[in-house]
Amino acid sequence: MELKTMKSNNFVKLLINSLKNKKNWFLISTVIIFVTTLLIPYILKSTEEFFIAFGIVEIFVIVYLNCLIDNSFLHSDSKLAYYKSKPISFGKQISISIVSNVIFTSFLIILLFISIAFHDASYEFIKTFKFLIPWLGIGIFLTALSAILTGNTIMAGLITIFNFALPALFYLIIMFVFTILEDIVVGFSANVLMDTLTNTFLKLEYIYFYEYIDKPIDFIYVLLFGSILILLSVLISVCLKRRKNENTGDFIVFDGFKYFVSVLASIIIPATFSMLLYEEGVASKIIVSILLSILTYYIIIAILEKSFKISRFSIKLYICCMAIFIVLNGGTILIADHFKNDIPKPEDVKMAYVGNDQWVFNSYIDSSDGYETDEYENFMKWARERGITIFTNKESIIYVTDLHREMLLDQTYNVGEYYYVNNVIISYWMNDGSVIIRDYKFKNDENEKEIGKKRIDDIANKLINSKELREKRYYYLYDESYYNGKNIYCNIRNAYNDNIEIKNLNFDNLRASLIKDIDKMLLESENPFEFLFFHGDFYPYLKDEKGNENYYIEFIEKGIGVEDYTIDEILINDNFQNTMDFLQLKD
Amino acid sequence: MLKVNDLSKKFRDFKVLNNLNLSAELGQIYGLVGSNGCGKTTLLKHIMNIYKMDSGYIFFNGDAVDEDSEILKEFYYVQDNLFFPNQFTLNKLFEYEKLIYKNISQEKFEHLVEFFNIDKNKNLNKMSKGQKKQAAFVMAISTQPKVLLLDEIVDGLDAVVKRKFWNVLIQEVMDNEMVVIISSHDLKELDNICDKVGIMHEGKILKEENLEKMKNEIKRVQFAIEGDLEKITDTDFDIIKTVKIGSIYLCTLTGNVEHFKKYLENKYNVLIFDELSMSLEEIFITELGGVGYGTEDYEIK
Repeated sequence: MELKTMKSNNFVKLLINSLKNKKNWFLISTVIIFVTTLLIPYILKSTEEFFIAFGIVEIFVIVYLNCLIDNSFLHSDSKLAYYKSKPISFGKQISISIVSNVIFTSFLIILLFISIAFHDASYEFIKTFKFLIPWLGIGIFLTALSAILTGNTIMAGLITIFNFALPALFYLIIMFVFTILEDIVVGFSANVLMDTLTNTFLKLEYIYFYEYIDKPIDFIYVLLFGSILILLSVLISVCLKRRKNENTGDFIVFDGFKYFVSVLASIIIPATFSMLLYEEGVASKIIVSILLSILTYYIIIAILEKSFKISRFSIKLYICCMAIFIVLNGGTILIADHFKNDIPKPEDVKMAYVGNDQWVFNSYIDSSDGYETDEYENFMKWARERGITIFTNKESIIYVTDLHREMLLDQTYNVGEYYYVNNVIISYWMNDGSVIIRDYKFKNDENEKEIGKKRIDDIANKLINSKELREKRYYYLYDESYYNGKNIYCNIRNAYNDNIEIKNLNFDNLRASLIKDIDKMLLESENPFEFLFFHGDFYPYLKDEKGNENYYIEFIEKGIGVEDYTIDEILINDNFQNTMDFLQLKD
Repeated sequence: MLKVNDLSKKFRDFKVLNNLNLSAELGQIYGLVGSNGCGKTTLLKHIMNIYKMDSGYIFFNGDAVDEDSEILKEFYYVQDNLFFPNQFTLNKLFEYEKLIYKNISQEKFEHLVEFFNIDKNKNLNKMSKGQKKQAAFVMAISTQPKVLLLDEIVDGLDAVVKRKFWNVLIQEVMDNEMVVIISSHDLKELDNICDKVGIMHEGKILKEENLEKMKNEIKRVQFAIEGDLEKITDTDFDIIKTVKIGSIYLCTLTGNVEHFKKYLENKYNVLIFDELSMSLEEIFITELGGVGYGTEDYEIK
């Protein structure tokens, strides 16, 4: 008991001593923060936001430098020998450094709060502290850990950034694996897979706390922050015990960590590069990635070992790691390949979508929080307002699965010279609440397979001429329940100069002509598949082939208690003969 | 007693310490001498647990010494390449070390500062090399350690200060029964103050002996004979090295000198025969010469 008290007294005395030694830092930081965040904006009478944001950056820089300086005793033989030979453990010395930096950081944050309060600045700044405080706290622990792992202060600084970015780097590597998979297995999208993964496991928004900017601090926040600090403390303790002090002066003291950094870098660099080359073929991307990976590994090892001669062990280790990476990659591809031809049974599907939006069901998931509630109606309204057709009719769903089957057989579809289609998305919301998203890269190949195109167009034709599509895409025309309950009027605008040609046109009179023209347009559509993924939203040609100006109709719903708002726009051209005649726009 | 048993250490593929054994008694000054890069500093850093050994043991008065040992708190290490915290004066350093050394003596500190005439309010990092050594030594003695490890402590000191150093050290060792290990290349200095010497080469202690006993074991004689000296074959003594300068032979040997003299007298007409005293430096050269260190002769091609 007595010994314990003596030890804690000793800790407090040493902590006070450490803070006393920091007095110059306290002084200069106070001056810097006050001058830059309080005095200058006050004198300039300018917007304080910039200066407070600048103050936040200053705090990061000052704390980062302080932590590096405090832990720099691990990076010089003589300093290390001096402190290690003292009757105070390294663990205690690191703890004192961490605690004194926590106190110092808190002091700086208080200074900044004073500035914010003085300027009566926006509440937005206070909100940012919900992630800035964990960043600073974790940063203090991470700098200590990085200082232990390295034998050089500059390297400790770089490794702190590397360690801080580790979750994001893993994200990048997984994304790289999925990008390879996307290129090899038809129908799989790296973005969709990554989204699933980040929603399930790698929740970066939580790991980096930015989720809490607009969210109140909760138990998860405290638990996560505490867990990360505990994990870092354990790592600090373990690494301190295993540190080879004789390697002080090397860039990285731990051989294992040195190889970890090198192997990770040899994946990240080609991963980044490869993702930039998304238009290149799979084979060339893989070859470039391998070359870059080898080169990166060699350069990093040469730098870390301060020698151009690479050891046999380093080569063996690299080969082993790459073999594991390839096996993992291959495994992922094999698993995905197993599912690539799976098309859900229509009876298991609740909703289906064909188009170019990967995240169409996201708003439904988000709004209903995974549970089916009356949000379904809201989701349908959301889709309708955006011109998105969500098929719920069984017959339409069967057509979508048929289309899906055809897509698996043939992804060549030339959409002509005016439009460019990169990806076609087919998504299903299943009865059990799960979502299946398939992303097919279209080859805009002029040598398309005519038979394949015809089959795809035939099915698409059935879909676009379905009652469901009309009622959902042109709901204000075809959906009687909607039409009867709303007060709609139209403006006719010139597509060339946007001038209003006819104002406040009665929609009831126009409706019959439009229905006739749209029925005709859908029935005679030469490229029904195009219509499906563009949702009929063709870009208006400002002038037709003869040089005549085109028009479009603005459909405006009269707001009750709110402003009127545009619900849709339709380009009318020569194909809309009934409408044109009705409006008497051309001779 | 401080004992090091079978201490081994590899720096990556290089074996720095190789089953090293050392024993230094309480109340003794132990001189650690050795060839360049033989691992003297590394050994001292292992004793202080700055480096972790690959294998072996360190004991102090029968108790194993490791990182968590309480006794380690009574070890003090003054390194060759001195470090003092930034902006620290000797006074400030004393205030800091007072927080961590329980036996530290203010009285001794003040006395030593006065004895060495050090400005205790001067920035330590602005002092000369010799002044820094004195400051570090004052600090070390003030903490009254049980084990004091001094690495190249007299390097850069003038003769007067050196004498002051040894006075203090000898007095402290006698009064406080501590173990002092001094590593140095200045063998003449060590010759005067060491009780025991360990000669180190390539990570091993080649020879560890009481200095007087060591001097008795290795002898040097100079003699002149009629005719040329032939190969000596006798088991009562062991010839380590023979050098001929003019007509005089200089011979380093172990064993009985009287037997050697009789051996020569039986075979030759001995004109001169004198036994010479051996210095630590000569013993050192002889011992290392025995393992082939520094035996090469330089020839101008």
